[in-house]
Amino acid sequence: MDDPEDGLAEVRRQREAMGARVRLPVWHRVLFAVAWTGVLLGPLSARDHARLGLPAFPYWFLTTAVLLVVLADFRRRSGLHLVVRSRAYPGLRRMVVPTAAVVVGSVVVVWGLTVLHLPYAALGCAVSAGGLTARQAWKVNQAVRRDVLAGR
Amino acid sequence: MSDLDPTIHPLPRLSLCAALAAGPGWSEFSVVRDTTGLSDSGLSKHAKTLEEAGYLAIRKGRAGRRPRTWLRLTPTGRARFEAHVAALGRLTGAVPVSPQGTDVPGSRAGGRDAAEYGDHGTAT
Repeated sequence: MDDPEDGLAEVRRQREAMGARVRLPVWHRVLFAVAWTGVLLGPLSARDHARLGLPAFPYWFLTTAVLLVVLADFRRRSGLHLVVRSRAYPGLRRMVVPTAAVVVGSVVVVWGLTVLHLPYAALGCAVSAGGLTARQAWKVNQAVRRDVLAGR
Repeated sequence: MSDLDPTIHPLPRLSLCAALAAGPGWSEFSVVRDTTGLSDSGLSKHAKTLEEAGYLAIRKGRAGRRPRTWLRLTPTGRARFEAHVAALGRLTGAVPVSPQGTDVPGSRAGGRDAAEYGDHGTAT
């Protein structure tokens, strides 16, 4: 390889290729939001399904399984192991606290409302929390992707 | 051309280093192969050369029942790669490869890698 431009172009191409692997498709985000909402509503659906007009069904088990599949699929496509091996992307490090706050906060609020026998409030909060958590996951994804493209 | 690293300079090895430098740390063999477009044997050959130079670590293991191989740049490899990219940038007179408008990459060798590398040991 004699032309340095070719070398730089190749470096850029590899970064873009790795960045493309990290990018979450829209269906992934939607499925994540739905599955996370289902996980949050697990205790409510187990206890108050009749009150909500739902047939008896292991909703919690199903939505947890879907969430695990979605996370495993992202890990397989991207090569990112977000909890252990990839934590050192600067963007990922910056996002740890707000992401933990969103996840833990949504669990505390929704399950707290469930315990307090406020099923409709829990339902509304779970839907909002599902969307908020999916948005946060998207922001983390964007931050990592920016780091990949910038060579950080 | 003195700053260019002859070990990294051939295009397949530059591709390999660039993919690993952009990747998440340990990258699966198949991910690197697909990203770089190298064949299995080509990737193995160039990875071995880089490993012998101390630029790359190879780890073998299993994911479930399937054998897997992971690759990553060593701190030395990352530093050499970044120096090489900086040298290419100087040769072209451009600020190298920065789609975000930031400067030449050069901060990870002593930061991210140093922090991560202790956990994972060396090549097998």
